Amino acid sequence: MLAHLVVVLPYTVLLLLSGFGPDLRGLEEMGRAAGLSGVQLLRWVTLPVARPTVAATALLSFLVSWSQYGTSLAVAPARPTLPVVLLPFVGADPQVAAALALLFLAPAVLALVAAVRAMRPAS
Amino acid sequence: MSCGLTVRGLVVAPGGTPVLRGTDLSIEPGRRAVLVGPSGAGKTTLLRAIAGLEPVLEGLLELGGRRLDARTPAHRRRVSAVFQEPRLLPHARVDDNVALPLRAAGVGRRERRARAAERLEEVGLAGLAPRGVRGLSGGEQQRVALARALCAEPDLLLLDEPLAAVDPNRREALRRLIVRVQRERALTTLVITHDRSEAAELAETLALMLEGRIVQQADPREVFERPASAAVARFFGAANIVRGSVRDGLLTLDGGGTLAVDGPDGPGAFVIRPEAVAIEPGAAFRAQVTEATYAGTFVRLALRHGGLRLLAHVPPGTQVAPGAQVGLDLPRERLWRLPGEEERRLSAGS
Repeated sequence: MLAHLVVVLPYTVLLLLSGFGPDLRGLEEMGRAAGLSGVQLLRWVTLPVARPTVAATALLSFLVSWSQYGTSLAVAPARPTLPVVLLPFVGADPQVAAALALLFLAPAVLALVAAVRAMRPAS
Repeated sequence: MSCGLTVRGLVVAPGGTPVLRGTDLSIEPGRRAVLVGPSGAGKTTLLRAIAGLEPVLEGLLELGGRRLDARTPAHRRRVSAVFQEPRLLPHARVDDNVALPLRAAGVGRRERRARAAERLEEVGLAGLAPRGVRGLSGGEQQRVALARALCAEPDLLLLDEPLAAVDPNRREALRRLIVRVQRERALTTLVITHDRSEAAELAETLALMLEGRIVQQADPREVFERPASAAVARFFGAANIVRGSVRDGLLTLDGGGTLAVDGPDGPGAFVIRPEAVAIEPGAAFRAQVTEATYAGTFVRLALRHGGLRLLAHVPPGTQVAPGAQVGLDLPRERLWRLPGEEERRLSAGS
């Protein structure tokens, strides 16, 4: 897990930085001037406004992590991740390969659906 | 209830660079003041300091007798701000944006939306309540921001260049709205702008800020017609400064020629606005036209009289060609003697 974090972190930081730019700061200032306390500001301004960026970042981080074979094999061959477990079955039989392709795809599609739902406006 | 604002000796240094260096400003309860100045003068820094968004190093901020210091955070100041950009929450409905201060105060949703609808009606946006904010025009968004500021029932309303992000042809309507709302509520208001004509139209009292200090605060007409210094005169476009020596009501110009003026004998510097300078064929005071520019509602003439350069705004129908000699009328009642300007000049030269 640590190894995956090392690979994913730069993407995450870069994306979040672009999302937490001057616009969000401006809205937070507006919130303070409108009478919002720290907690209220976080709940009603910062988090909802940052939500699409966080969702997109989470999706990308998951996809990068999901497609990591080399890192998982090199660091923890005794505790392989799901993609590493599935990998040897590829090429054994076309039908198995097709079924595995779907299996590979399913988590990525689910992550995409979850991210798109999270990007929608809250109310 | 409206409260007066007192700012005394304010020192603010955002990011370590002093921007406000001992700023003084006062607004009487229920009055509309406009703070005007060039970009970078420190206007927005002052607004942010009053709103509690910028730490104050020295000085006093008081609103209706209440001290606004580091122990009073932004959300407890009872000060509402409308920023240059509307700063609306993109995920919330129009009425939920307007009702944000009520939500902070713990008011229930039904009550919040009802009061937001009233505020929206007040700013001329009745019926927009359930819409999202994304489809609104710049002017509509700024009205929503104004409605939100009013929803907090503040003691002081701050408006930072509220017309800047609005289409030029919609500005007039928004300007009128701001004036009407402020008058009806007798709400103490501070408007910031860099546009001098907008400042004159919006102000009951007008303050000019140059390099972090308020250099003159008075009725708009007084600031325009009777500036406190040459710098004030230049900012408000009264670019004609005539220097010389007064004796028996006659000013002998440094570069030759005489003008009738009021005031005591001695050296003096007088300003006259370009609109007050008129062409008078028979006048003894003559000047050469160096440039004539048609500006739509007037013709701008650049003139030279010896070493003195003058500007005149004359009616758009005036036909004068560069190089022509014209007689000028500089009415004595429009010539304003700059207080202390001559002494300053003499002491600076010594």
